[in-house]
Parts: sequence; C-alpha cells; structure tokens
Amino acid sequence: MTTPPGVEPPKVSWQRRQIAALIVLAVLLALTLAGGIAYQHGAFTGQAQVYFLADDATGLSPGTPVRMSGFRVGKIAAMQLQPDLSVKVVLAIETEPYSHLRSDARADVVREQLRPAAIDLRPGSAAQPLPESDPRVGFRKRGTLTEIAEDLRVRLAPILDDLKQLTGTARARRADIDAMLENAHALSRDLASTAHEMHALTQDLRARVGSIGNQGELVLGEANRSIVRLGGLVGQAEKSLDTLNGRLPNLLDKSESALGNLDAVLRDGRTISSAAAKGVPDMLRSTAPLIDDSRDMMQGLRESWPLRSMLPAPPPATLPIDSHDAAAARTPAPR
Amino acid sequence: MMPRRRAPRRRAELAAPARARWAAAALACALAWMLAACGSARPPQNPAQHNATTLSQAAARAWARHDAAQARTLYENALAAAESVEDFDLAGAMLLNLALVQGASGDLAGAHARVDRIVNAPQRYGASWVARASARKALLYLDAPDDTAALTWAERAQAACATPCELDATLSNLRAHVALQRRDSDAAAQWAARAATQAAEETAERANALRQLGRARKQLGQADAAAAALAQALAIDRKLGLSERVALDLVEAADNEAVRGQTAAAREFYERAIDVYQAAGQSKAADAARQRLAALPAAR
Repeated sequence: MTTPPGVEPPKVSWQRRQIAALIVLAVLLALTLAGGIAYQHGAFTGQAQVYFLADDATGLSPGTPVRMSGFRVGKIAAMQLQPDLSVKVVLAIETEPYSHLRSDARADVVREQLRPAAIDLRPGSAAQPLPESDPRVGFRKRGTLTEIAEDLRVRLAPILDDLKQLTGTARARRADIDAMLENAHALSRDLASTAHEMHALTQDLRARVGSIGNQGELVLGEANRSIVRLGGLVGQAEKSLDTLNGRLPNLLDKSESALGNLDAVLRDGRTISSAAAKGVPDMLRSTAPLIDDSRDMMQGLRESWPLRSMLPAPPPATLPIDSHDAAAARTPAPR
Repeated sequence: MMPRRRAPRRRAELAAPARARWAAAALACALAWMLAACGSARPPQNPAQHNATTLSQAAARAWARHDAAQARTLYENALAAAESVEDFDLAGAMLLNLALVQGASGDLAGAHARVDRIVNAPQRYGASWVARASARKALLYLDAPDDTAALTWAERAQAACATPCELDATLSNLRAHVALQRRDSDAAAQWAARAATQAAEETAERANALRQLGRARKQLGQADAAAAALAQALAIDRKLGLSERVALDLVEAADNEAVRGQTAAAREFYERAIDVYQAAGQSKAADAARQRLAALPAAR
C-alpha cells in the first residue's frame, strides 16, 4: 500500500516532531546554563561596588574572593593602575552586606601559606555609613608568615649577636669570675667567723653586764650612805641660812640706799645726755661748713704771700712719668 | 737854765729821724701789701676744678708716703670732680696718676684700662696726653713682661710727642732696659748714653740713665766706666733724696765691684745698700741684698 502524493507518511511526521522537541530541549538547556552562569556572576542579585587603593597588589587579581565574617560576599571586579603607581582595586559585593559597611570600613588582604589570597572586609564601627558617592574603604596588607619571620629575624639578630659577645666576654673573663667567686666564698667564710666572734662577744658582754649589776648594787649602797651624810650637811646649811636671814635685812637696807644713789646719778646722766642730744646734732651740722671754711682759709693763706714762699710748693697735679716706675727697672740686674 | 734851754732842741733833733723811720715803715707796709695783693692772684678755677686740684694734691702726698690705697681713693675722687665739669686736662692727669698707682699695686689690667681711656679718645685729651698715656702703657708692658709691646707703645708715644719731647729721656731709658733684658749690651749702652744727654741735669731720669749705662758697661766688661756712671747716678739720687734708688745704685756698684774681683769694696757697697733698704723700711729688698752679700767669696 502506498501513501498518496502531497500527504506525508506518519513516520516522517513523527520524526519531525521528535527533532523539534530535541531542538526545544536543547534551547531550554542552553538557556538554563546561561541563566546559571549569569546567576553565578551575580546577574540576578543586587551588587554594589567599593574600592580601596593599595601600594602593592601582589597576589591579588580580578575574581579574588571577598569575605565578610568568613562568608564570601563578593569578589574583586577590577584592578586599575593609577598615575601615582598605586592600584585601585574595585570590589563587587552584595547589596545586603554593603549596607553594613561604615565610613571606617577596612579591607585586609589575607595570604596564608599554601592558600589563595582573599580579602577580609571589616565593616568598621563608625556612626556614619560608607558614603555612596565615594565608597572607599581602608586597606591593610597583613604580612605573610615569611614576612613575619623575616621581621623577627631582623629584630633578633642583633640581640643574638650581643648575647654571643657577652658569652664570649664571660668566657674570656672566666678566670676573673672564678677569682670573684673565690673571693665571695672567702668573704662568706670570714662573715661566718665574724658572726661566731660576735656571738662570743655577746656572751662575754652578757657576763660583764651581770657583774656590773652586782657592782651597781654596791654603788647604790654607798649612795644611800652618802645621802645620809648629805642630810647632815643640809642641816648645817639650814643653820647658815638662819644666820644669813638675820643679817640680810641690814644688807638690803644698805643696797637700797646704794641703788638710790645710783638712780640719782643716772638721772643726772640722763639730763646731761638729753641736753647733749639737743646740742650735738647742731654742732655736728655746723662742723662741715666749718671744715670747708677752714680749708678755704688755709688754702688762701697757703697761696698768699709771704706764707706761699715759706711753705713747700704743692705737689703737681700730674705725677711725673719716670722710667723707674716700672717694677722691672727697680729690680737689680742679675750679677 | 742850760738843761731847760737844751731840752726842746733835743726833742726837735730826735723828732725828725723818728718821723723818717715811721714814713719808711709805712712805705714798706704799703709795698708789702701791694706785693701780696699781686702775688695772691690765683688762676680762675670753678669749685669742681678747685676740689679736684685739692684732692689730687692730697693724693700726691698720700702716694709720697707710700699709702697707695688712700692715693687711689683720692685720685678717683679727683677724677670724678674733673669729669663732672669736663676738664679733660685734669681728668687726663688723674687717669695717668691712677694708672701709675694701680700698676705699682700689681693691678696691671686696671692700669691699662685707665690709660686706654686716653689713648682711645685723642679728640678729647689731645696729642700731649696721648703721648704720655702711650709712654705709661709702654712702662706697664715692661712689667707684663712684654718687651715687644713695650717697644711698640714707646714708638707710639714718640710719634705723638711734640718736639722737643719731654718724654725723650724716659723712652730712651725704656729702650735701654729692653736691650739689657735681651742681652744686647752695646745697644743698651747707646740708648742709656742718649737718655743721659736728653735728660736735664740733676734729675731723676738722668740718674736712671746713668744707672742703665752702668749696668750696660758692666755687661760689656768695662768695670771702670760702669763704676763712674754708677757713682754719678748715686750722687744725683742722694741729692734728690730718693732712698730706694740710692740703695739700687749701691747694689749695682757692689755687683760691679764683685765682677772685677774687688770683694772688699763690693762688701762695703752691699752693707751700705742693706742699711739704706732697712732705714727705708724695705726689708725684702734688704734680704735680697744680704743674699748677694752672702754669695761673695770670703775675704782673703
């Protein structure tokens, strides 16, 4: 049986439908793959960009992950060399973490040994949020273990050198140190013997103090006897005082009259001095003009004839300049 | 009757000479008064100048009795009085006197400061005072001792001193002294001889010159000529009553005698010098002369 012309056989139609279904499936798969890739690149999530400037971007490259609190929130989107040779590193991060960034946010480059580099984004604690007009964050490059080890080596090397030198010096001065230790040992031995002697001295002193106590008792007995004798002397003194009491009134009478005479003399002296106090200043004040007048008079007499010819001429105002004035000229020449 | 008639005539005879004597006495008194009036005319001085002059005279008397502290105080007061009326002549004189007093007391820096005030202000004090100040500086440098500076200032003094220069003899003596210090006896003798001719007769500077001449000739080995010069110096100094210089002349004469071996004569001169020093109260100088006497060889 044959199919009339213009009508497709059912087998061909079925094959066509299968091919069309395969094509549709391939297109769907391609679209799914493209959507996945786009999703992977953040095409379906909101993204924001921040940047930082680094002096050295060694180890960083576009695509380097950006983490916040250990979770990946983005990656390096671009790197541009600036005219001043710094590198502008643009980070593309998700919108939600971006909202946590403050104005003092900071990006730390973390490069652990044997691990790829990553950027640890720290949100900061300032009150102001990161400005959208210039979303620049700080940057700090954390040193690798190699760099830290190098730093430690640089710091420790001089210390180790000094230690080595000290050890060498100690080794060189070992004899001296030994002598010092020997001296210290001898000194401690001497101290021990001194302590021993001190101990013996203390015991001796204690014995002597005991004997002194006995002697003190004897002395106190003597003192008691002396006090008894002193009592007798006090009795004699009382008798003498009685005698003195009998004679004292007469003496007092005589001294009173003497004091009266002295008072009269002082009164006279005061009268004289008060009179002098009035006259003496006037007299002293008149002395200076008197001296001036006398000097003028004497000068006039000295300069007047015939006294002028009798008196020696006054010395000249200028002392003569004489070669003998030098002390060197007055010293006899060496013989 | 005779006595009665003769008595009036005698009174008349006696009255004429008495009147003549009275007239002569009155005339003498008038002349004396006129002379006194003429002689007592004093140069016009204001009170400050008069005070400065009086103080300087008192200072000179203090200096003459070797009271340097009192002399300095009085000269400083006199200087203040002179400067208070800008009497530069009197102030210059006081500055030079103070330089002498301070230099003799060992204060050479202070003495230089005094004369420097004159040297640095020639427009005020004039060439004459600058010459004297330069000469004083030269003498101060002898005591430094700085012979080169002394000669330099002697040259300046000579240049500033107008002819005839009153400082000629002093400066020649200074040069003779420097030559002696440098053991240049010929030059010393020449300068000393020149100083002796430049100095006036019977003056202290002439005696200084003769003493320097004696020293120079002694160094030259001309003992007789040295003794003659020293004898002349001694005569002048004795006449002027300068006891320190008399003793110095005697010591130089003794040294000269000792050099030519006349030990007895040298001893005699030394003993005379010691006596003069002792009498003048200069015990240190007397001790130095005693040491020279003790160093003489024993008499044979």
